[in-house]
Amino acid sequence: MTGSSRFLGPLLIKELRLHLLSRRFGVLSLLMLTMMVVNTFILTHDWRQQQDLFEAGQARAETALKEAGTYSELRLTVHRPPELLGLLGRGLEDRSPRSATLAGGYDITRFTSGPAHGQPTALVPVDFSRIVVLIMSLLALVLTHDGINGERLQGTLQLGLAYGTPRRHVLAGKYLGALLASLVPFLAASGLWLAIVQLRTDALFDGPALLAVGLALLLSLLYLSAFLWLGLMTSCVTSHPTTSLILGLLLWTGLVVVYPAVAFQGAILGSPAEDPWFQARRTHGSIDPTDEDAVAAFESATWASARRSANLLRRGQTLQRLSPAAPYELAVAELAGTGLQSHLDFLARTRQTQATYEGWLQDKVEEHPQRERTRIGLVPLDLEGLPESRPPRRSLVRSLRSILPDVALLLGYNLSFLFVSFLMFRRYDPRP
Amino acid sequence: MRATSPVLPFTLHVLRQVLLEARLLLGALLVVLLFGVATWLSVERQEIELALHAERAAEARADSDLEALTVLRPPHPLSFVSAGGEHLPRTLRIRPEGLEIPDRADSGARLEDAGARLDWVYLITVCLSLLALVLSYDLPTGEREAGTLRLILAHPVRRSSYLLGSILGRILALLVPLVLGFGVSLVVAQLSPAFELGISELLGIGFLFGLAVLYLSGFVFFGVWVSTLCRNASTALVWLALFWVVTVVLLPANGAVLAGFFEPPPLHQEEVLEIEQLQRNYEAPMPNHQERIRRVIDGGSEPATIRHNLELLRDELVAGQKRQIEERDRRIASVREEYLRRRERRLALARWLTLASPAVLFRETTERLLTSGLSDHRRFLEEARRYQQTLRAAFEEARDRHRDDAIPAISWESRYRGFTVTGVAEWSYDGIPPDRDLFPEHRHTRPVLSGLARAGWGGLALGGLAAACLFAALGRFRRYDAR
Repeated sequence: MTGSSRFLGPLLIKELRLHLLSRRFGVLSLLMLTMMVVNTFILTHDWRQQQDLFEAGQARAETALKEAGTYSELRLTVHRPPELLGLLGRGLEDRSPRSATLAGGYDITRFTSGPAHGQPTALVPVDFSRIVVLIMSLLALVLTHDGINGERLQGTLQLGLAYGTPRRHVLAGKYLGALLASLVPFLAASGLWLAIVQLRTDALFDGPALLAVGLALLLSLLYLSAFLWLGLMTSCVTSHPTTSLILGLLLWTGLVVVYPAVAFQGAILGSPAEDPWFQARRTHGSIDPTDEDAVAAFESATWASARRSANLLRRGQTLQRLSPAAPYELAVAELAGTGLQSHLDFLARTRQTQATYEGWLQDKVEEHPQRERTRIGLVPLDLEGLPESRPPRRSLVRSLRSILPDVALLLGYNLSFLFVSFLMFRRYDPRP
Repeated sequence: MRATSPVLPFTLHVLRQVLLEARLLLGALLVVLLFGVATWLSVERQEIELALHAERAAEARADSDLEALTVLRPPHPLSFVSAGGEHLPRTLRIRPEGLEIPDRADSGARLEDAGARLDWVYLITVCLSLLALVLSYDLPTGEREAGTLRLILAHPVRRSSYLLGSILGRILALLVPLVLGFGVSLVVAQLSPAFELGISELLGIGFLFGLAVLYLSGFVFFGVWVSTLCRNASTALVWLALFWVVTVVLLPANGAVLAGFFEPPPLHQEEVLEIEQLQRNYEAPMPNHQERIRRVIDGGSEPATIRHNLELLRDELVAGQKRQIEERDRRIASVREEYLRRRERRLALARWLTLASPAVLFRETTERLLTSGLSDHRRFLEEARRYQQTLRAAFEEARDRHRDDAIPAISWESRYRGFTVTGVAEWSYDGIPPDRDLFPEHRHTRPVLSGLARAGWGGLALGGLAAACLFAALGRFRRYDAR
């Protein structure tokens, strides 16, 4: 042990003990655990309900295929199964379509809305990542806001520095003590989350899923760490704990509560052109299934409209990344398979299936022209070679690649707050 | 010497003092800036919403026929004050059997519509309430720590007068960012043609100002009460910050979780599957028809008698089929109605179960007052239901009038031994525009005065909570150790 590093261990233990015994730590930890248990309980219930519906939908779609009497009434349905990891980060799980019904040119592609259909976004249950975003960041600020200025007021900072404790060790001790203390409720909440999910869903996490959960937990720590440094930074730039707490609360409200709302509203402004759906409406009026041109125009407008929505969302997410909460939540959603990339994958796969299905249908109608619009008793249709309607399997490698910028951004936030804290603390006057 | 009651001097002294403090100046600057930015964003958003509404209106006209009518909920004229209804359905389809939320993007929860709307209510409930606590956490603990409290109470002044004067000074100081924010916002809104504020809108804003003062006063009283319970100001601030986060941020965000205990989310997918199942279950009983027609033809001898008997049989078969179709339609309508009711129950539960949060209570009261957000949505549904009831006869009459224009939707034809029997069980009126004389135009209304009556209990509850906090603070301060 070097001469100066002998201070770090006792400092860390003192900080850890102080935090663990404080009432504010107890209250926030209890809040975190309660929210985690209650919300995961509700979300697992919703997941089971959606899983049942997914299975029922698939079975009914298969029956409908077998019962179809003509090619014009044949409908191929692509279902999107509910993501179990959506319990970690909902992302677009509730707003992305649950299924798409393809008519192969006899009608337009029709999407079935997710659970958020006609519901305010505020009614989507708070998931694991949201609880971390709200409570862990607050816990970090509450634990660290008086780390430096509080000690200064008590006179202990001057005393400690007089004993030759290097300033960087004081700051590192404060940071590590708060980090270790925060780990207690975080690990307990994560353990409870895993236990509830395992017990209530009967679904076992496979290797990639477990890896995704592990990575999400690491990202949570990175996010927590950013707010610990932010708290220490406020403590270094102010002389009184109440001032740093007010500053911390203002920053927290701005970064976690208010800014994300402004960012999304900002994204909708100056949105690229109008919804292509309305353009098609103006040109063609209502959808007439017998008018091939109109069906083609509406089909194309449906996809263009979906792309436009995704672009707007992407723009909003880019603006949101100015808050450390956004890269964390977006990265967790991507890992969970509920992010924008997964939504776009579903759309791309569905569109591809639609094109293949249309070609297949044309071949079949040419092969059996009498079966296009006329039923022949109970003779079943020739469904040989019908395209596969299963949704694509998620690729963890792809998710990892897409979250890299967000991970870099979180690291950047950590380093920026750390740098400012060290810079301010170097010139900090320790006198009470 | 008898203690005097100089509330006003205390008020003026505290007001002067607080107005020069960095916490108020910084807070006020941020709040006023946010009011300006929020209204500017709302103006831009309103222009988009109005253009979208025009598109939806054109779409509704094209979509409305004798099968179903589409009705619209236009953007709220005070959406910069109280939004919150943009995720809720903007359009409803009215069928003779019942209501339906269309499956298009207009039905709410668009992919890009994430996050809360930054409106006046949001700024008052979140930002100004935090400022109210920041201004009140150190009364009286801050004065006690500085030693000035003992000095003041050494004079012949009533404790209650000192506390009331100091509280009033803080409330008046808090009104500065509130009034400035309202002013800046109204100027920004008036500069755009997107918002046209009439007498009723200004009246609504006036009542909202009163509610905001009541709400913020409640936070100041609560801050003072907690401060009297703590020995030092920083402890009071930590507890107040925790209270604020739980009641203003966390509780409102957990409406869905609490509602989920009683009402799981009604899934649109479930509704679609059930309707598909009902439609599939219904099958025109053709084999049975064929058999009975054959028996009539085989059993008769004279062609004229056979034709007569076939006509009777056809009428009987068509009547039976119609009964089945009516039953199917009734069941589909009840599935749709059940979905709508469950949605409504869930929305109401999420709101009612979070009313313990003063922020939710304030939003609910404001929405009732201005008929915005959830209140606007409820009114839209009620109006649509009433409209649907009045249109039942109109649909029937119009369909009779246009029977010749209708095309068969469910029909059958049976040929046997030279006889042909045709039956039409259901007609399609798709694309036939509704007659103007039979279908009165639907208009969504948002009356302010009736909103005032509906918002009354909310105002009383906010006032009651504020009064309780004030009495608690006064009671506690009587025994407060000033040393």
